Amino acid sequence: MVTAAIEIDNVTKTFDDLIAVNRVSFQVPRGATLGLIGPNGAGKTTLLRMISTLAVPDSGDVRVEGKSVRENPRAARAHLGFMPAEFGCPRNMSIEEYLDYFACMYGLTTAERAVRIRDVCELTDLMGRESVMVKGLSTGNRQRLLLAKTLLHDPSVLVLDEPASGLDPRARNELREIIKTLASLGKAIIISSHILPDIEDISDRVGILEAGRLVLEGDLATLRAHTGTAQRSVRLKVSSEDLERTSQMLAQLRGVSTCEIREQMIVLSTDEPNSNFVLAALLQQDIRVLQFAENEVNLEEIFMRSTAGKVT
Amino acid sequence: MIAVRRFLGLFRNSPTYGRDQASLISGWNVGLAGLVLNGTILMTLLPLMLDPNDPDWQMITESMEFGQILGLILLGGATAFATLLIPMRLTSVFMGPRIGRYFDQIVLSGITPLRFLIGKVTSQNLFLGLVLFLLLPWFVLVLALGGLEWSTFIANLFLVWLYCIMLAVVMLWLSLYFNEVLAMLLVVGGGIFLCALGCAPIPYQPFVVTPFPALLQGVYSASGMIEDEYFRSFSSVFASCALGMMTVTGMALAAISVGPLYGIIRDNSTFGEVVRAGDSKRKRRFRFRLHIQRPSELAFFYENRDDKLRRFEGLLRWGAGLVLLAVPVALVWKVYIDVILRFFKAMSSGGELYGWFFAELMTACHTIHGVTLLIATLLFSHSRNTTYLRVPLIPGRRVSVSSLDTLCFVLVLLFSTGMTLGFPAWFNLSLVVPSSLSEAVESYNYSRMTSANFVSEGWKGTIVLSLTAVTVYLLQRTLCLAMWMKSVSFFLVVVLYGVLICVLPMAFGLMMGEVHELREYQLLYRSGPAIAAASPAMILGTQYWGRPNSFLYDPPWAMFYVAHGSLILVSVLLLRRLSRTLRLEYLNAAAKENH
Repeated sequence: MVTAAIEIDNVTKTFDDLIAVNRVSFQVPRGATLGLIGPNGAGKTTLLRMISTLAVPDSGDVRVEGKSVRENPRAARAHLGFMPAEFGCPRNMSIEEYLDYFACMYGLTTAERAVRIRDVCELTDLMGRESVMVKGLSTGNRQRLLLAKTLLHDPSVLVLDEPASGLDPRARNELREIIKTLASLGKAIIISSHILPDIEDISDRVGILEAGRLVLEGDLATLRAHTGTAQRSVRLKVSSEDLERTSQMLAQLRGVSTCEIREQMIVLSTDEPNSNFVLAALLQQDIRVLQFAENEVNLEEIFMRSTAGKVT
Repeated sequence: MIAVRRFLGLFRNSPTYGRDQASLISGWNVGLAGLVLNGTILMTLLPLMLDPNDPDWQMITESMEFGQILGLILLGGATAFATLLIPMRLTSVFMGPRIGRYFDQIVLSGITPLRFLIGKVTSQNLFLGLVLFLLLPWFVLVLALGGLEWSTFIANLFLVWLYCIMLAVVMLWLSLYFNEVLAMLLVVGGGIFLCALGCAPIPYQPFVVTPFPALLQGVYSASGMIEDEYFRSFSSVFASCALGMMTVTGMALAAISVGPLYGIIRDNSTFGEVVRAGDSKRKRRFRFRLHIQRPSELAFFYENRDDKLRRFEGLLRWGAGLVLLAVPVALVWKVYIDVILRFFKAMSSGGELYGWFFAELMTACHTIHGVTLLIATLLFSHSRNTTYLRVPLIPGRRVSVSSLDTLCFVLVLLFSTGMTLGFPAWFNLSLVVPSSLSEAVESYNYSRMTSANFVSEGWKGTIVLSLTAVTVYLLQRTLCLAMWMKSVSFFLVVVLYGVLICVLPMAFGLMMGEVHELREYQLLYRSGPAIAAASPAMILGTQYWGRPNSFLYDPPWAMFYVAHGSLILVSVLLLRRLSRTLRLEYLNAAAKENH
């Protein structure tokens, strides 16, 4: 039986009377990326710390490459690469010294260190900047360096806590590409972020946490199905005298799930693969279309629908 | 070959080695080292420069080549320099992660505490290399002057190297228990003290944990200051110094591997929260927060401690504690018994045994007994943040620290009491009685004794001492529940018990006996002996070394038992009361505030 790289089995963690994580279970196979989203205080960081062996679950268990974080945390750590949200760094070091310092911590030999440092610098686009001092790095380069450090011992499981926090759009785009590359190399990745378009772009599956509970988990189609959200939404504008008539006509059209008037526009949702049938109906009825826009329902909408804004 | 490569890798792949190597060669470091080192050597040469006709110097220079003397001064200077600077260089070993806040990354890397720290130790080789490099001009002078004995010089250089490594390891060891600055002051102070003692021209030099006994052996031997055979041989002094320093280094390395008990986080805890709820507030209040910050930081290093240690934590820690206490105690008993037997043979050849021999024998037995139990009290008690921690004794069986402490203390108590009761009894039955020796009456204090009283009189003092130890131990365990550092509570218990129970009642009794004016107060006067008898010092003093005065000739022993029985009862009740709330804290979930 092929086991998943990360198996989270009914994990609970409490702090005094606060339930930070409440009976959460899911799996991440190798080569897959799971995006973890949720409001502030939902328990994302606590869950990531438990996966990373930095906190012990009160009940349930987490297995990393089959190794229990409760029973054998040292073995689990060997497969783990954890990129924390904060940048902790020894003082007065260049990028190369920083990477060498942590490569020593991972127990790499002198020869291995040279190769690995070159590889991770290449992957994270830090090549040629090895002698730059760490304390003068921009936020983007710091995140790159933190990711490079996380990859030094070639872990098969990556846990990334808010990796894109504070990055500009270009740096975010580059980071997304790096993460996609890592997933293509067969690494299992869990990434937590508040930047939902990024999560939507890079994740195969998404988990939504709220008040310590895993509200939803699955690929986007599954999430849409669970929230009752249709595949696409169409916003169209017609002349004001046609507005009521058009709305009634479209509501009765086969394939349209919902149809309503919002701010002088008709908003409808459909599960059909495209919305050409709506256009065809409008033309058939000789209704003059002033504006027509078709969108896929995005993660943000699913998130808003599936969470109630509760925090622990 | 692979094993050797792995062993070397342990040093080469330590992250702290690389960091230290990088920071070693800087203008500041080299300049400061050169200045201090040359200053130290010039200071050593100053007496010679100021007064070349000094008779001591003349005696030395007549018996040794000047090149040889200068060579020794250089190595002595390097030793003094290392004593001052090596502990200072190591004060940053735990501060680095604290400032950079990368503890999580240390845990996740899987690095063991020893591998993290060992780099700082091995980098002292580079430091010593720098020191020797700075001394090169002096060495050239030594060669130019001639007379250097190469074999002795290299042997001494080896001892200086061992000393540097020992200083570094001991500094790191103490840093686990004390604030780095405090640890540095302790190591520097201790180093200077031991170096000074190592310079003393005494036979059987016991302070062989510095290179000075070997460095000065040639000088003392040549000047005739020491005539002892052992000290006249360089090789024996060299071997003693090497063995002494290697033993200390080995013990410190073992202690670093095992780590302090508060380096273990408890089951329901999380990193950064090792003590209990409310610590964040205390952290803010106490800037240095020794008792809170250190445990939580050390937990990051010791999270990756050896798996065997993790599985047999209780067995290894308390077993090692027992062995470390039992072996020296057994050795002391062995040496003491040998000395007594030798002494007895010499004394009994005259057919008489003097009364003071009995007192000497029992006092020595009780001194060993008392010191053993005092060390056991400190060793087998733990402060409030670890008392109820449950550690695996063997796989699948977890036992609380408090239970292990109690068990070990009881074992030591039984062993020590058994030895203190058994040895005089054996001595009496197997040597004194068969020899039909009589005691010469030396003073009126011993007029009541017979040759069989080694047993009949001896056991009382042993019981008094054992009961005193149990009382002190229970007081220590009680106070530990309210304290964060057991050394502080031990200090308080010893001082309070010493003053309130040992000294004050005795002083009161003595005062009643000596100051005649006070006898007007009949109630006080009559109760004087009873109050004085609460003190174990009074009881033991009157038993073996005669009465302080006729007033306290035979103090009522019952008072001692009543006083100590009451103290034991109060301690047990307090212990139960305080432990109830503390045990609950250990069962509770981790504190929210540190989440």
